Amino acid sequence: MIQLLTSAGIIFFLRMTDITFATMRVFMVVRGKKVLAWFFGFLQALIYVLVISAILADLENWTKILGYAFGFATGLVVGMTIEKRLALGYTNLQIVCPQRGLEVASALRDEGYAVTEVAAQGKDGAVEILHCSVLRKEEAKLFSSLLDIDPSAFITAKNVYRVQHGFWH
Amino acid sequence: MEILLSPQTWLSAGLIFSLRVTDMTLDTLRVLFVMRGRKAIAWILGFFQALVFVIAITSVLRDLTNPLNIIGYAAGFATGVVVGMTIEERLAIGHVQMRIISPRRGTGIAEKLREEGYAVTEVPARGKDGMVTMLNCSMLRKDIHKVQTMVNQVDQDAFITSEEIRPVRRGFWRA
Repeated sequence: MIQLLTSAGIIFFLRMTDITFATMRVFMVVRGKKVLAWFFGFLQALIYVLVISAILADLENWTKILGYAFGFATGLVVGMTIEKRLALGYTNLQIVCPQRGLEVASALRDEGYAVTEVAAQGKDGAVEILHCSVLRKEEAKLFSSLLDIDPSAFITAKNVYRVQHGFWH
Repeated sequence: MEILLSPQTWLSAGLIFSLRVTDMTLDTLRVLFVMRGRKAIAWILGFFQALVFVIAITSVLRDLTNPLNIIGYAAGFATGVVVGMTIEERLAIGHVQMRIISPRRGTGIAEKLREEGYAVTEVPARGKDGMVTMLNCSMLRKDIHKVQTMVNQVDQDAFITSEEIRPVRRGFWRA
């Protein structure tokens, strides 16, 4: 029994590692990072062959199959978590401020971010739209300082590619 | 060690490598097409990818004593990913929206791009040192570099970002 569980555990662990690498690889592909995509792809395929051969050699052992499936699912989540921590790339924030747009803009500029203000019209009158391109890493820090100044600010974020120039915090 | 010297093992490892390069090239292209909502192309790529994959994995599993097979398999996988990315970059399918922020020469950039046939929307805005112009211009992904060069001819210091978009309706696209 114990032997069964250790082998299922090993399969779980290997499969988790493999899918973590696979998830990272997909993120690298989407962001166009070829060297990292190659590296993650190599490791992923290497581990995968070991796992799949262990499974197929012993398909009657359901604990191994469960370990395989749990490893797959856990690997996805681990990969996503790591990617979020790394937070590669750039984000464009759109901040709609009904009341305190100017203050938010100058506060962000004081902290060294580049902000472009656009005057606009909302349901209850004039609003200000702020556009701010930042490193994805900075996003969370920026949100908290933003909401301190104007809790009513409406913020959306989207991934962008850097093309050229401007300044990044 | 003698396994490494036999031409037979090198041949089978090389075969597995090239099968895996083909299959992962198709797979990477498929993922990038799925993200852009191209169903028909995704189906065709998925079909051939799975077909080649089954052949590759069975040839590896048939002879696990040959470490070259396993390495060929993994290296083929990784190389296929990069080949797929390169092809996708060349194809450059889809549309992007470029946002150009220029402190002084916004109108000049807009005129230049319009002369070349691109649709440009100008928005007056304010930056750190006073008024700026924000230009929104949607184009085919293929055209990014061409448009960037045109912008630079007018204003070297313009700030440019791009994002992928899906065309919804209307407006005009430069053919």
